[in-house]
Amino acid sequence: MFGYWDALYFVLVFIVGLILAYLLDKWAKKSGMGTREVGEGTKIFISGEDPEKVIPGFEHLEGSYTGRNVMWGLTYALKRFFTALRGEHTGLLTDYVSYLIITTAFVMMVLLIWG
Amino acid sequence: MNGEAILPYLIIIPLFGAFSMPIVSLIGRKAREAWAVIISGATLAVASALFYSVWEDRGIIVYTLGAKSPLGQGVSFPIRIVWEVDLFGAIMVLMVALVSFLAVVYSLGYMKHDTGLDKYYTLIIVLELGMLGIAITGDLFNFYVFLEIMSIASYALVAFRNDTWEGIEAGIKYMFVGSIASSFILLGIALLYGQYGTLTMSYLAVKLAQNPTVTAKVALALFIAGLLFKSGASPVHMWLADAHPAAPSSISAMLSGLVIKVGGVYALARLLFSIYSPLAYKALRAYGYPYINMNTVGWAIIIFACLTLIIGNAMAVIQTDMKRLLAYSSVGQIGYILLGLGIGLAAYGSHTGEVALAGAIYHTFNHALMKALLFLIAGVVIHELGTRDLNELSGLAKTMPKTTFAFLIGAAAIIGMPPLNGFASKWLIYESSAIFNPILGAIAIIGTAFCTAAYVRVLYTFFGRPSERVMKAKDPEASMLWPIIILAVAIVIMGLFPWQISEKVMLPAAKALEDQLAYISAVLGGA
Amino acid sequence: MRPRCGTDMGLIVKTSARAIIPLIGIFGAYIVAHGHLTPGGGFQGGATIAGAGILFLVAFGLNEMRKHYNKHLYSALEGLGGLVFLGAAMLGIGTAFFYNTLWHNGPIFNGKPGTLLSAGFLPIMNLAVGLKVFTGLVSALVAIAMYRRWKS
Repeated sequence: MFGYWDALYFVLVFIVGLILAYLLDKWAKKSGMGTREVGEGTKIFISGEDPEKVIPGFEHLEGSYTGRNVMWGLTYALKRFFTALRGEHTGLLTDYVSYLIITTAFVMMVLLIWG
Repeated sequence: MNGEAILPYLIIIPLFGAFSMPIVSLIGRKAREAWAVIISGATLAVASALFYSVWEDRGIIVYTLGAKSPLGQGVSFPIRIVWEVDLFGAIMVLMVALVSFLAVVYSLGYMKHDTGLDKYYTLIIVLELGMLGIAITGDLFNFYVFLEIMSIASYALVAFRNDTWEGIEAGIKYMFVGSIASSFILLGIALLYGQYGTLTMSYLAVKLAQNPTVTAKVALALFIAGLLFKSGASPVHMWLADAHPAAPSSISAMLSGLVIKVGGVYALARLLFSIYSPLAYKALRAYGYPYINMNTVGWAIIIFACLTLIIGNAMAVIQTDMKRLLAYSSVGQIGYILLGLGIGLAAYGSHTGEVALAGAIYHTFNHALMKALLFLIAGVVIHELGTRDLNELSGLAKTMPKTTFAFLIGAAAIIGMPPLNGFASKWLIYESSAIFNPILGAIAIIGTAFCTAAYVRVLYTFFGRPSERVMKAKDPEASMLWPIIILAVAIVIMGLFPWQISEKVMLPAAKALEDQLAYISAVLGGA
Repeated sequence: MRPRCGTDMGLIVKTSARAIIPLIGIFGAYIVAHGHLTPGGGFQGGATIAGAGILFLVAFGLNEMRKHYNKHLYSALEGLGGLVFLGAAMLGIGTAFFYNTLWHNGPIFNGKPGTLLSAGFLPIMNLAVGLKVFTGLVSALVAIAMYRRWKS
């Protein structure tokens, strides 16, 4: 077998990570701008859009943030790739059949030439 | 335990269950549900016993229909239908029986509000029967019959919710294109039968090695195209993204978890390794005889695998429909399995090829568990909330904690996070592909990056601030929750012993698949 | 003019159908029973008998068919056909699944080849398949006739 792996190491790393996260949380609570134990003042603002803010056109989603914009950077950077992909997924039966025929022809050509 | 004696019951029990379902359902609803659970449970028991038997003595079980020996009277070649199970087939049998049983149990709660359930349970058992038959058969036409049993049952089940346009449209499309793919496969079988005059896989392998003709190449191309379609590889994956979300979720779990693997990848592997073999190619080439270049075939599959990897996972990133996202993710994961298969073919004989093949088999099993889990959870969400639009599902973690936790496990496993089971199988595929050709390794990693992005979106939604809609939701009832828990626990436990499973089960399975001579001599014997 | 839903096709067609339906049934039964001797068999004979049922449906209309068609009975019979087939295949399970023990060991089905009572379990299987195909096809056609979406 290549390499070496034992799940126990991961559990160990995971526990260390949990401890680090807890310490980080403690530190953030102590040094954050919040001044109160309960209520608004305790909020730790990390990044991204403010969930409290009402977005025009999306009023019905007020106060609930969704995964819609999480991968915005990725989808924006690869916009042309995704547009091309979306364009190919037409949902038409004839296109499905064409792709099947093209695949068959490709495989058959490869096999007859180099097979 | 004697594997040969119990093998026919793998087919008899589901067949009996499916035929007697209309009679049993005259008694009443409870009897029908109990009957479905009993039948699939008994099948699971037989499948486990069979797997254990094959695994224990590392042999190949050969079962002849209708007589003691497959050979004809006074002739030295097989004339009867044979069933032939090696370790690879036995793993598939276990996987099919396990996931089907869980899907049937899940259906008890999930399909409570539907009508026409006698047909539903009949079809779900027939679907299981078709897949079990594909996994155990050693006869080419018998394989086609089981493939059609499986395919037609899945067309009907995709269109089961016939009160929505979505199910009907997806079912019709799936049926049309699937029938064309099936007819390609049938044409390939007919060509081989016309050329070599036999349908027994092992004897056909001998004939093919003796005389590889152009007809055999054309037949191989038809097989590859048809089975790539059935396994949902790009660019013929589009039916999958329509059909799998449209089916009821328990069926989606079976379609995505089992059908595309047993009916596609397993059949492809069986054809490529046990009939057209890289072993014969190497030997014939070394001695200067005509041959069919399996290296080319391996590379053709690798090309399709890379396309599938990228396109499937990338399309998953931009979906807003939860089940559609999962379906595209299935396409992506099929890419990994095909990549392992292609490398196993192109690098046949080396350690790399063997590890890649073991990784492919391992990932097939793992992905069946993970995708079944994820689809069952999607079903729970639909059952509770009536929507699968990701934009409306934010904050599920507050009201459905157990479900969300199980989803977290499934998503982490499918991304390949250690210490869950997806890690080990993906690692085998990455490492062998990186050794075989670093570019392939890089492509595999890019695919995983897209996969991670897709699932992070879902998880971010689930853990977000609860919207008003999800406040009414709660964790599902026991019959829906237990299959989810069992699958999640299986994923975690398999993740804790990755290398043990790999060395004890998956590598021997890859060796059994590569060892064509044993497959042939199991049927032909000393003849 | 489109015929209205559920009505018959008139006196001439009905009278002819009355005469023809028994003949079709007998011919189908012949094909099923001689499945192991002549071309045809369970499926073809079952489909022929189903032709009689479909002629009844077409000639006499859906309303008349509803009176004579019982969904539960037909699906139970279809299941029974499958079960008989499976049972015949199971008879020789001691040797192998699908082992033709009736042909090798008797009792009655091991007559001289070419006679009706030869070929072991094949006549039984043909009867079972014939029953299954007949009930299944008639059920399918009745379902299609019932699911007309337009208003009559």
